[in-house]
Amino acid sequence: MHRMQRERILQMGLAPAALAALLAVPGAAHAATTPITAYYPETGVPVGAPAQAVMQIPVTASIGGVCGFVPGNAPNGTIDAGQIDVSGWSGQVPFTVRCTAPWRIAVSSLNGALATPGPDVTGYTRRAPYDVKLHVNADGGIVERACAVALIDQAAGVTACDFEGTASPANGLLLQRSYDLAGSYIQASAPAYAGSDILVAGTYGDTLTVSVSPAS
Amino acid sequence: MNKIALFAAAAVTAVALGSTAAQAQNVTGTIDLTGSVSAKCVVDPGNGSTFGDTVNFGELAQANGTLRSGLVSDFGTRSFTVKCNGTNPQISVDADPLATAASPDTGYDNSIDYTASVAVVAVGTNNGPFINASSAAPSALAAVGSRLANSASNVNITTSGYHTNALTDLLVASPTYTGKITVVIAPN
Repeated sequence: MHRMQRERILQMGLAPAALAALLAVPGAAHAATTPITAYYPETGVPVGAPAQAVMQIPVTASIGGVCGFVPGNAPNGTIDAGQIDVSGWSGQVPFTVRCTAPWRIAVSSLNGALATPGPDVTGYTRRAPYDVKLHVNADGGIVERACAVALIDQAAGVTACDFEGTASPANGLLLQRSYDLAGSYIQASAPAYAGSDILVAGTYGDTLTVSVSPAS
Repeated sequence: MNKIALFAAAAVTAVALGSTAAQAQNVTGTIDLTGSVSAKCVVDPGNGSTFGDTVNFGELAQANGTLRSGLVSDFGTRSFTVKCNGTNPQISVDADPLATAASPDTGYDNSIDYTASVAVVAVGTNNGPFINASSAAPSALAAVGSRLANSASNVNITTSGYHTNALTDLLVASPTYTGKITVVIAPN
């Protein structure tokens, strides 16, 4: 066989092993593209030319967590609190997640209270507090956490509530895997308003945004 | 050689896409909450709907049988706390004379008229005091002009101008002269 032909065969022969490694190790891919030429021991071989090509390619792999709500089972809904200064109220919105690995859930509130628009007047208020509770069914059992809605106000900054804000790999309540487990819900509730400031007459509202994310 | 390079590039791309897809899984749900607070006025303490007081003037006539003085100070100022959550509550006043059923003859009177005045504490414009003479028809509901202040004793009732039909009229003898001031504070 012609020497050049044998060189080509050796070069091509590296392809299957290199490809297998490259599929799993993106970082090593570019280094492996540098050609390595080995020579059969015969006359005409350059002095010092290698007789073999040795490649050490570390192979690692991982499967990224997938996390989301089961289609049709995201926590979308409306809770009507009724006359919030007359009687207590409570409402739940169920949800089911498909998270294949540890994940996080977080909640943010648009107003940090049930609120009605208008100017502030001494002795009166346009904001009625309430509580938000997460009840999550995950591997390992039910996890419950509750916070005052003021702690998850979008403008509140960092608070003591462990499910405040928007879920990300590093933010939100950390939970074990939960895949199609029923029974999770978010609850909003409050007793009849009894603050010293008077709730002004009006229509009150808030919006809670629930987000989930794979955990890092 | 070229084939190896192409394979490597394809593999890197595939791995990168897989990693990106896993990290972009943040999903959300939205819950809308609604509630309401109807316009109302309540009496503090107790959140009731009525307030009241009793004034006992005692003997109404002086030694010569005509109306005595001092009823204004005896009545004084009667203060109450009313909380309204509307922007502009309304108030009406209806003063009924101190009267007795015993019929009067000429030169006598069985009724003592006066004027009731209701002053309120408001957070802004204040159209008070709201006044009604016991000899006149009740006043119609009138707007305060702004919110009632959320403070104690924000409604204060006084009286003035106690009189009989004629200054020389003698008050008929009766164990009971009764009168009443009715104040309505309506949310708005």
